Amino acid sequence: MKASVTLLAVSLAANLGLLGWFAMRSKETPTASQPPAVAAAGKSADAAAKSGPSALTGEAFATLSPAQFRDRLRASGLPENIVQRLVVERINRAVNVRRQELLAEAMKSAPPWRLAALRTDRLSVLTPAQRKELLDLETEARDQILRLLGPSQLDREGNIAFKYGFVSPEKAVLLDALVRDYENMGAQAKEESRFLKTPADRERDKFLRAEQDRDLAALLTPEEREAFELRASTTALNSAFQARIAAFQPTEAEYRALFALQKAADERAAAGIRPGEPAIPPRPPGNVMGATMISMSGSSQVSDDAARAALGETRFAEWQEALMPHFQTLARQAATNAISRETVKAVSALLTETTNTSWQIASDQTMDVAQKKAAMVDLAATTRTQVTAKLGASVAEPYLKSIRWFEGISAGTAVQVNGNTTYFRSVETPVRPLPPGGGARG
Amino acid sequence: MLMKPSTLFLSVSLVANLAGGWWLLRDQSSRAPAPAVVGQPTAATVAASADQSLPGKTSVVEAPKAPLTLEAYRDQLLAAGLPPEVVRAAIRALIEEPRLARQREIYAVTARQPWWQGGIVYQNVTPEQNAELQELRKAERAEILRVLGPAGLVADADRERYAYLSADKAEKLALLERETTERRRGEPGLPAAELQERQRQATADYERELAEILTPEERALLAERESNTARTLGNRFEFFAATDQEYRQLYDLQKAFDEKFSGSLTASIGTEASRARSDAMQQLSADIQAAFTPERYAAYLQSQRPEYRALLELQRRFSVPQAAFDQAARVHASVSAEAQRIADDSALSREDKRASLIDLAERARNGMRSALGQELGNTFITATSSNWIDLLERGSVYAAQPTGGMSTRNVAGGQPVPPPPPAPPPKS
Repeated sequence: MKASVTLLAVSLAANLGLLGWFAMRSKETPTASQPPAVAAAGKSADAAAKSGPSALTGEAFATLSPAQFRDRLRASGLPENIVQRLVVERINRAVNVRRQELLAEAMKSAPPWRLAALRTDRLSVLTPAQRKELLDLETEARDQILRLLGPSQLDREGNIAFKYGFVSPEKAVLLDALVRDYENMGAQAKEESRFLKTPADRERDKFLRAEQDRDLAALLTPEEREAFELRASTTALNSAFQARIAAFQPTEAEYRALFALQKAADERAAAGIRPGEPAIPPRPPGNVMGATMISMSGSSQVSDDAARAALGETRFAEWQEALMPHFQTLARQAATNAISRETVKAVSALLTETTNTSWQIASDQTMDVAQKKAAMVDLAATTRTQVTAKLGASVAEPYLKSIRWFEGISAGTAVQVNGNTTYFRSVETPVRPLPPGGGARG
Repeated sequence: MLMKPSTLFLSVSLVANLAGGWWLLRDQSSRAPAPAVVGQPTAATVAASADQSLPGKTSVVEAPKAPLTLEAYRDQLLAAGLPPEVVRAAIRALIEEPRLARQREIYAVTARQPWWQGGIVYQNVTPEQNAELQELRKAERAEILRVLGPAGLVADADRERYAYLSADKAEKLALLERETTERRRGEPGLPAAELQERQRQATADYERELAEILTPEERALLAERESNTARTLGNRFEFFAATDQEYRQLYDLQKAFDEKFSGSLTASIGTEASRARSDAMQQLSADIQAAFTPERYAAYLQSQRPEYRALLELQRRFSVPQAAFDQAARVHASVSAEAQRIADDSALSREDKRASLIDLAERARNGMRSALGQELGNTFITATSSNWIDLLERGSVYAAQPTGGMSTRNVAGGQPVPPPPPAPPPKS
C-alpha cells in the first residue's frame, strides 16, 4: 500500500474515533440551566437508579433497612466516610421524626412558663412516658450504629475515649452505652421521686446499682473494673470531690485512700443514713449576719477524722486548705496560667489572713465604725496589691473579682471562711461582748 | 493551483485530526479535579483519612475515582433525592472531621496526665491548644457556610426550639445566637476590662441584629420563652396552676427587676450593689404579694414548698382521691401558718416555742394520717424529701419566699439547721 493511502486510512480511523468520543461526551455535557456538578450527579443518580442494587435514591434512604442502605451506598461508590454519616442519619431518622412529632404536639398546649425550660432541656415539655419512648429509641439507634459501623461514629469528639481511656475504643463505647443506659434509668427513677422517696424507691435504686455492677463485671476485666471505679464511677465523678482533689494534688496512694473514704460517705448518703447533726463548721465568735453554704452537704463529705488518719497531720492541713473555694479557684487556674504550687499556696494564705484580719477589725471594740471602714479599705487595697504582685494583673484582677467576698471587705463587710462555709458581718453591726470563756456562737 | 482530490481529502482529514486532538486535550484538562481550597478540608482529603476497616462491610468501594469537591458530593446526594437535612448533616460531618481529628489527638494527650490529680472530669486543654481548636472551629464555620449556606450551621435542636418562628427566621436567629456566643468568648489571657468591653459590644450587636430579624411581636414571644426572667418563673410556676393574667403580672415584675439588676447578680457580698439588689428583692416580694389575692398568694407560696410538691407527687403516684388530697393540703397549709405564728410570737420563750413546735409536728403527723389514711399518711410523713415535720420537731421553721427559695429560722436555740435542699432541677 502506498504511504498516502495508509496515512489517509489512519487519519479517517482517528476521525471516526474522535467522532465517537464527541458523541459520548455530548451526552454528558450539562445543560445551561444546570450547574455541572448537579447535572453530573443527576446523570449518575439516573444511572444508579437503573442499575438496581447500587441505586442511591431518596426512596432507598426511606425504605431500605440501615444495613441494606449502607450496602447500597457502598455499591454506589461513595467514599466510606460519607457512607457512614448517611447511615448514621438513616438510623437516627426514626428518633428525629418521633421527637419532632411529640414536641410539635406538646408545644401547642404547653403554658408559657413550661416553654421557658426548652432553652436548657429540649424535651422539657414532654411527659415522662414520652421522654422514655425517645430514650428507648435513642438506645436502639445507638446500638444499631455500633453494630453496623463500629465505635468511631459514636465518639467523633473523642470524649468517650478520654473518659474511658483505660479500655480499648470499642470497649469504651460499649462502656459508655452501659453507663448511659443506667444513668437514664436512674434519672427517670429520680424524676419520679423528686420530692417523695419511698422505701420502694430506695429498693429500686439499690436494684439498679446491683444490676449495673453485674453488667460492669460482665463487660470489664477485674483490672478495668478497678480503673472504672477510681476514674469513672459516680464517686470518682463527684464534682465537689474532684474539685478538692484537683486543688489538693494527691499522690496516687493518697487518691486511693481518699476515694475509699468518699465512696463510703456516698454509700451512707445513698442508703439515707443521716449524720447525727448537719456538718456545719463552728461559727466564728461575734454577731454573724449570714452564712453561705457552699459545696458538698455534710452527709456525703469525707469525715475529717478519717481523712486525718489517712493522710497524716501535715497533708491533712493541706486537704483542709483545698476545701476553700478561693484556693480551689486559683489551683484550677494554675495549670493554664503557669502559676506555681507555691504561689497558689502563698496567695491562698494571704487571703485567709485577710479574712482573719477583717474579722478582727469588725470585732475590735476600740475602733468606731468610721475607723473600721477605713481599716477595711486599707486591708483590701493592701491585699489587692500583694496578690497582683504574685499573680500579675491579668490573672489577679479576674481572680479577685471571682471571689464573692473580696470586694465586700472594702465596703465594710468582714469575712470568715471555715472550710466550705463562709460567714459575713458588717462593721456597722454592734459588737456583742463574748461570754466568759469566749468562743460563743454568733 | 488545483490539488488532486485524494490529496485534498487527506489534508482535510489531517486537519480534522488536529482539531479533534486539540479539543480532546482541552476537554481533559478542564475535567481535572478542582483544586482544593487552601487551608480547607475537602471531601477527598477527608475521605483519605476515614477508617476503612469496618464491621459488616460487604462490598468494596470501586477503584479510586477522581475526588469530587464537597459541593459535588452535596449536589450528587441532593440529585439522588436524599432529604436536604440529611445531606447537610453528612456534608457538615465531613467538614468537621479535621477539627475533630485534632481534638481527639489533644484529648488523647491530656488523658495521659496523672488522673489521680483531677482532670478526669474535664480535659485540661492548654490555652494554646484551645486557641488552635478555636481557629479550626472558625475555619470550619466558614467552610460550612460556603458549602451549605447558613442552614448548614443550624442544628435540629435550634429548629425545634424556634419552631414558633418561620424556618427562615429560626435559622437566622440560631446563627445570631451562635455568633454572639463566639463574639462574647475571650481568648485566654485577655484582660478582664477588654473582655467586658467585648461582651458589652457583642450584646449591643445582638440586640441590634435581633431587631432586624424579628418583628416586635416575635421579639416578645422570644423573650417570653428564652429570657432569664422566663426561666426563673418557670421553676416557680411548675406546681402552681396560674392563670395567664397572673403569669403576665409576675413576668412583668420579674422582668423589671432582672433588667435593673442582672449585672449585679455576682456582685460581691456586702457591697453597695449587692445591698441595692437585696433591697429591690424585698420590694419585688412585696409587689408579688400585692399582685395576688390573699388566697391565691397563699396557694402560690404553698406550691413552692417541697413537702406540698411531695403531696402532689403522692397524689399522682398513688391515685389519692381529690377529697383526701384537699384535706391533706389544708392540714399542710394550717401547720405551716401555725409554725410561722409560733416563730414570730415574741411573747413565747425559746422553750415554749420548742414545745409548741413539737406539739405541732405531732398534729401534722396525725392530720396527714387522718387525711390520707394510715399507710399513705405514713408514706408521706417518712418519705418527704424536705424532712419537713422532723425539722419542726428540731425547732426549725422555714418559709417559702415569693421570689423563690426558702428562708429558715431555728427558733428553739438549737444547733443551726440548714434549709431544706433546693428543689432539684425538673429534668436530668
